[in-house]
Amino acid sequence: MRLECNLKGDVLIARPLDARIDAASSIFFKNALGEWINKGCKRIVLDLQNVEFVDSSGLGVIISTLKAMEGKGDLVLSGVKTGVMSLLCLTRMNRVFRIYDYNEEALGAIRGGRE
Amino acid sequence: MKAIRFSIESRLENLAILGVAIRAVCSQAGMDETDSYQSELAVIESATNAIKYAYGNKAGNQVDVILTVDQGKIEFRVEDSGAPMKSNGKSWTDFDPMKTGSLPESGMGLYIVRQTMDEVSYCSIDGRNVMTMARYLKET
Repeated sequence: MRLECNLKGDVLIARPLDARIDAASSIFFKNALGEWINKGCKRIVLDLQNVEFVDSSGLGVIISTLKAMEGKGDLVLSGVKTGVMSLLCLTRMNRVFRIYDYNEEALGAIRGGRE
Repeated sequence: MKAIRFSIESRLENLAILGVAIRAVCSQAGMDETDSYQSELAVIESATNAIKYAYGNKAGNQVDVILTVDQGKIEFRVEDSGAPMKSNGKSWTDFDPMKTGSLPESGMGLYIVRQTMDEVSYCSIDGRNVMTMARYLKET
């Protein structure tokens, strides 16, 4: 699992470079995002444009990352593909996370705070 | 009727190649992108449970997946020879989307299987555990 991370001001843009976030890769993913949160990062755009498949383990990591910020930060999603969106809808997580087509929109929204 | 069997060793890193194979068969059988994704998802959730819980994450065991395309549906059978599945009786959907602290981080697998498949059954006989799932093909 490879994760590309870029800071735009105080917002972390985290982009998985591999196509799958599943039970095999979710631990790496959780630890990598956890390190940024431990360093004080409180606003994250998770850019899923390369991700073709997320299972419940991968979704669990995304949820746990949001929870790790203990209500003092925000995590929004961008570039979500059709299949992954169907998982978010099945699990009602489309009501939890704000979801945007592109990083620019996501950045604008997260800088503006939770709607 | 057409049938194909995939077998993997019980390692989580083998799930990716299994998933790609499942999605390819579903697509070839006529499923659209979302249905193929959700079928792959259900099989991967079942196979993950087999590796993590039936075999306790121990490598060296086998997980078999048999796909059968017949009479307007695809049947998926995920088989292992480990410990039988136990239901914890929890309802995964008992959470408030507006309360971050209440969000569940695990336990979604079986819920997803039930949500994505038209038929689901599970049996454990003579040391063999079989999760049988089926999804109907849309008429074109």
